[in-house]
Amino acid sequence: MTITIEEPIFKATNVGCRFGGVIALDSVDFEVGQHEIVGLIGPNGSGKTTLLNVLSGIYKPTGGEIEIDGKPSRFKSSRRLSRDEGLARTFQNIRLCPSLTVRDNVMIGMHNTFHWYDALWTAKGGRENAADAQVAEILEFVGIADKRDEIATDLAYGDQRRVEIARALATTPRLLLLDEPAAGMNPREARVLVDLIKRIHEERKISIVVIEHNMNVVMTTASRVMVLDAGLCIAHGDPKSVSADPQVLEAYLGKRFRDV
Amino acid sequence: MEFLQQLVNGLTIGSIYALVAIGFSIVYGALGLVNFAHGDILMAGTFVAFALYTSLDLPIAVACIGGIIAGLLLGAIVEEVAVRPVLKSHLLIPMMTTLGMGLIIRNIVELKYGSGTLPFPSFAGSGFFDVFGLQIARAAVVTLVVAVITLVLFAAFLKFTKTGFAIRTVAQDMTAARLMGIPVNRTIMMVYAAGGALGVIGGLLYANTLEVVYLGMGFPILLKGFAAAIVGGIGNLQGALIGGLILGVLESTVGPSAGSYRDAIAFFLLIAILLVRPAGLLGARVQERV
Amino acid sequence: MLSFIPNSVQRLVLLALVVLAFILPNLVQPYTIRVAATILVFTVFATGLNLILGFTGLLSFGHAALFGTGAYISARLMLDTGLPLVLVMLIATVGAGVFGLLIGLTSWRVGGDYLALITLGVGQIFYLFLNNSNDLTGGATGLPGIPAGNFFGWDLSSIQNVYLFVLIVAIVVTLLARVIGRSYFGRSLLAIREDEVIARAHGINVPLTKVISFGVGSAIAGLAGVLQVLLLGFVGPATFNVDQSILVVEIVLIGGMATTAGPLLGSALVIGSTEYLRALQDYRSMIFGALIVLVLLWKPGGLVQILGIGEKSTAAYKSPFSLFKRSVPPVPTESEARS
Repeated sequence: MTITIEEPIFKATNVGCRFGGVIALDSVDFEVGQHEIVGLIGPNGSGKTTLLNVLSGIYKPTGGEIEIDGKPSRFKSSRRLSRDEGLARTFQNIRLCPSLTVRDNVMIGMHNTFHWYDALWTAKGGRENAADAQVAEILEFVGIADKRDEIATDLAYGDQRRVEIARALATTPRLLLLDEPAAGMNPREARVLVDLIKRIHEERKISIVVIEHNMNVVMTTASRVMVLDAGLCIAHGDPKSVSADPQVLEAYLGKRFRDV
Repeated sequence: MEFLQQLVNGLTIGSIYALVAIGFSIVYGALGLVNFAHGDILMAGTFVAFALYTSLDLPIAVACIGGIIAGLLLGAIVEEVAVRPVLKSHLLIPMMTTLGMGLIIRNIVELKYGSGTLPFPSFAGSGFFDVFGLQIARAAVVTLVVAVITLVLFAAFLKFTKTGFAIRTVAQDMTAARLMGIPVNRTIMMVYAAGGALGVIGGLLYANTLEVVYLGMGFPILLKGFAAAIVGGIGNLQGALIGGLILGVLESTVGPSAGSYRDAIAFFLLIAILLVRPAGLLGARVQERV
Repeated sequence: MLSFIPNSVQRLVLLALVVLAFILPNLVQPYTIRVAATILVFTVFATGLNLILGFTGLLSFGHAALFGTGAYISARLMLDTGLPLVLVMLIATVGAGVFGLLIGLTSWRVGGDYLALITLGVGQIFYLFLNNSNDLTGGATGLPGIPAGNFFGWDLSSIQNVYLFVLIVAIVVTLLARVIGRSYFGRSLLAIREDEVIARAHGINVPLTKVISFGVGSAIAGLAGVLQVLLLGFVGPATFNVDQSILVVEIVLIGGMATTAGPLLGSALVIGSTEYLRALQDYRSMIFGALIVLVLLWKPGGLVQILGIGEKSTAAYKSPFSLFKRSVPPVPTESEARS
């Protein structure tokens, strides 16, 4: 079950997170290597999203250590992680700025590429125009180029997911955390999403962590799968061996089904 | 002795602030929204009591009850007209609409009574009680007694009645409350109505203590009730009580030496508290709003 | 309403209006010029608040204090020193901006709702201060007899010239606000307004950005204060009480939050109707209160959205607030999660 990753870019050891008396995350080791896709699965309430929130700096963990590029680091805020460490994420329940257009939502992801003086010059030749071109390219990449000027929350559910992914890509990350990107999608949309995740991985050389309940998505994209249950890692390995792991079956289906 | 005297005065005015603060806090606690019409509702309710007494010659107690009912209604109307339709929009919107409602309410009162100061019939009567050498005004005693009774009744209402339970549930999680079959819209209306009524009781006691009623009375009381609520931890009822009392005592003990900046005390206290404990004195208990 | 008019025609109309504004002094009575100048002063004032309230979504109910800071600083400087007007304007603007930064700093630790109270309190204390420190502010009587300004040899003693000067400043400020509002900075302000968690997760420094927006918005209000002094030749505390703060909030809300033209339209409606519809004087706050409620319930983009003019290139400015969604999913904010 122990798998060692050569030169992990992001390595968390023994992270735990509790809210009052509730232990959302007990003690989990987690690492992401250069250019890989990690699947993170587990029953509801097993701590997947908490782990993601801890990794992306939205929650402050109550214990554990973190190493970035092999160097010990303290837990940084989500702003610093985004700006300095190239970490981007999407949210489980889509979070878009409700009254902004798709373009502006994606532009928010580019915040850090602007200098203060860009606020005073938005005409031709400014950074704004260059960013505009990048937005067009990213929207093309995720396949919603035609929706550029629509209000983001007016879009269909699947397209809103893509806007979120586009916004995350706009920060030019090296590690992308996707929190249930296929939730609420039909099988056809999910297949397109799988395709998109693979393309992000291959064409943009980004490491991806994906939380998903849709096993098809996880098994076809991830090269490594980790299973959480009740805030602990119960299985870890390549997709095939994990899906056959008796503990995993137990966590998902209960003890009775273990030997079936 | 001098100090004790001021302490008693401070507790009296503080209990008024506490009532206003609780009316304010209950709305904030349930919805995370500031009700900017609160000051105008309490002013209008006090004026209704005044009108019932002077124009209809009703007994003062009946007139006051009329004023409190007016507060209930105004709170409910503000919620119904200005908050309900925009409950799902950005938080700023329902706050601004209550501001607009406050302007309307104030203008209506102004049309009838102008912006001058009118004498308010004191229902406590004048005179003093002499307690161990302390001169305690009858109005102060009445204020304290009424405030304490109101607060106890309100706490009991929240704790033991079905509506009170619904209010607490909505404050915890509106979506879950709706799924559990709690009539959320009606509960929110109740919250605004209760806030308005508590405010009017505070306003009546204030008018009774100063024996005047005037158009602008809502604003300073609102400001201090708001400050008291935040000092205690906004959304927290015990906190609002403690905040109100602290504010009242500070005003009457430190106030005289502050001269014309007396009204600024509330504010400096507020800044000091916020810098040390941004969540207020009892703020740790504030429910996380989602 | 007017959105069927093609963009090019709208631009022509806008150009014609600007030209008209410049030749206005030759066409109408001094009283009308004075009203027009007042509208423009409040346009600048509201543009400052719009940055704070409309874009960043921070509640500021003490903006008259910043307006007053600019006015009193400039009045004092013009009475006591012979500094050129440009410097006076610069000092007053910077002074109000620094004061605003200090107020905005309190937002570093506390949430936006508390800022409403803090600004209310600041407004109140500022008003007390104006009335009580007689040496500096002239107390309740204010500072009368402020000499006319002189902008690089351009004498601003006649109302016509003051109007033109105010017009130019208002245009410059409006253009500046438009550029800032559509730049990455304006976008990050909107992102903060909509969802702070998102803003933070995409590298926006939320507390600092809030403070800066408060500072810039305050500086613009201070500049409006200078214009007010130039226009009236007098400052008194009555112009800077809480009613004035509420008035400018009304202007921003009615005109349209987070829009370029909103402050101008709102100011024209609110100030214009106050000046010209004296018969409605008694019903003023009722009408504006009802207008606020109506606008926010119906078209939160204010007059700009109702008229459907301009602001076409980015749909975001067409509907500044989505009526459909409050974006607060159950993720505690950073500070809450850490406490």
